[in-house]
Amino acid sequence: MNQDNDKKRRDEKLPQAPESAGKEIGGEALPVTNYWANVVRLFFKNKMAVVGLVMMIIIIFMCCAAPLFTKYDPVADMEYYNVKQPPGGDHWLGTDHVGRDVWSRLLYGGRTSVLTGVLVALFAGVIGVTVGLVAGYFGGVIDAVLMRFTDIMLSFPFMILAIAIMAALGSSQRNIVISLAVTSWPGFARLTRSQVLTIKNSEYVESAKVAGFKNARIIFKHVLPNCMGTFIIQLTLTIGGAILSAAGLAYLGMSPNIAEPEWGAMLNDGKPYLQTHAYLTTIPGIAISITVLAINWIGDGLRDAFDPKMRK
Amino acid sequence: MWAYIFKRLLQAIPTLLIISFLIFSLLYITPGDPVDLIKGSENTKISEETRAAIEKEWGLDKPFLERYVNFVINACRGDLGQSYQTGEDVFDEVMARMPATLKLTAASMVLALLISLPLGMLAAIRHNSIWDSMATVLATVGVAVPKFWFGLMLIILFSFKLGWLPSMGWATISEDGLAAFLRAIILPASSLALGMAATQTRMIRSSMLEVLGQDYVRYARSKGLRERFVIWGHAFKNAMIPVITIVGGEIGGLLGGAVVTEQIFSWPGVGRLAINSISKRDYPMIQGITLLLCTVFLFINILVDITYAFIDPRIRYVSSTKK
Repeated sequence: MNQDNDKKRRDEKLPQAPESAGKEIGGEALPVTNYWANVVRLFFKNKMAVVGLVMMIIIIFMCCAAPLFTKYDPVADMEYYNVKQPPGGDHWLGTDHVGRDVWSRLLYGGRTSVLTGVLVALFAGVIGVTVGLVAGYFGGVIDAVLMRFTDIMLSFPFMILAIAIMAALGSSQRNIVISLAVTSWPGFARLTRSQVLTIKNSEYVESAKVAGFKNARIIFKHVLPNCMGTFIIQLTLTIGGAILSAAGLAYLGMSPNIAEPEWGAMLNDGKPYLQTHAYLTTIPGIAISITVLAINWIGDGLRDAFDPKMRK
Repeated sequence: MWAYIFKRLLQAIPTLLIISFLIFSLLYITPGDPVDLIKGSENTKISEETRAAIEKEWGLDKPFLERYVNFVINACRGDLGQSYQTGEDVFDEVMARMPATLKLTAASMVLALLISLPLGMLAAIRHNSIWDSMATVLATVGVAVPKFWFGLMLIILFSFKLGWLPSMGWATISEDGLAAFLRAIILPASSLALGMAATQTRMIRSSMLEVLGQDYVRYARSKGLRERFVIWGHAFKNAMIPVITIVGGEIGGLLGGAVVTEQIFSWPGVGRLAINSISKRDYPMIQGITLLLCTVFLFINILVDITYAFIDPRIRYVSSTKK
């Protein structure tokens, strides 16, 4: 059992060590395959991951270049004589309760929704990685206090906390980002910490310490780059989760500006017409699901590409 | 074992203290005058004397820390204050709603396990079969679909189009009978169970696959043991260990997810109370709800950990040697 564990640990460390160790200690790089090139190669070998990536590129392109794909303005073009037009004809996804084109709102709304997800993941990532790094690297009391706090944050039913923060800050897209970032960093902290604990005891970090390098240099040059894999995976998966949670908050009416298009807010708009005009609810939901699905496929592909057990 | 349980219970106390402090300060800095909220007089002026009287009555004239300490002392006695909105006792009000939320959470948990356990096991045992593909589809799609939207889709299909099930409402076993209760709970529970079933299926499948590749399983097979015994006697129990942790962690998500689900299905649980209190800025109520939900969550997690220790003797061993 013990031997097994040791072997596993060695296996996990091996692929991460060579790059920095070769450069810093030996003076000349060892003839090893490039870590990142290997990750990219493994990622592109994974069919679902590539499908997800292509889908995501298409979604982002269509949202950014929205005016190319629709002639209607998502906010200004209200056709009061043409409200709740079912899909088909000139408005191929129909019009909403004030006569705005659903397809156009979907495209423009995607900008807000995807951006919200990315921002939440980035902010949460920065907070979480900092906490995890500090806790894992310095250990002792700092570790105990920070991790206790992280556990406490994890024990919060996070949707309730997010709603409570929204109530305190007031409803706006910015506050949705804040409340979700504040509630989703603990995952990053835990992962980073466990990663740091493994790296901290590796030979190359110990040699760096012996060589008399400052903590900051060891953290930024040796520890942090080796946490990148876990970070990127977690980042991707958090984007998907954040898009879902943001839609949930917007659906509850926490979205500020009803006129601005956003997928969750579109669902909220469709709420009263669920029985009569179901497409107002169906369409934005499908958009959210497809986007999150694509992001999760990318995340899974990354996980496999970074997983040392997969490199043989 | 008892020492372990006792230690876990002790650990819950600082957690609850910090949570209550966070919520208390969050609501303290929230803009809005409590006196106006209590009197419902946001647009009308009230005299200084009335204001002072209300502040004194509700203890709002005291400094922040004193108010927090009083809150904690009262909370220990089961008194979480009165609602600004209705003047009702917060503890009673929340506890009256708690059974509905717990029933919904439990029902979706059972439902998720009913789907994920057979599907995940089949997917692992018949690796690369149709079951495996089904499990993969559920695992990927299930986590990508917004739970509340899935609930809305269920309403559109089963209530509006087919007319089989009610789109909202609530029934109790004692008054309306089991059939009515199941009819009322099946849609909200399914909508809440989707994400959980997805993660569990994935977890059970990969955990089972890993265990089936272990030496002791190969040994059991080479001994000539029947496949049934290999799977249920040797593999299953070991495969379930990581799954239980995931299930425990998901409960917080379920309690939080119940907020939106309850809103959609008009389920009279704590989640709906929370949304109503937040929109009316009923601070004592929000405080009480968060605190009680966290308590429930913590206790469920302790229960999960204890189960965990029973199943996996290594954990008991580690926790007793650590001390």
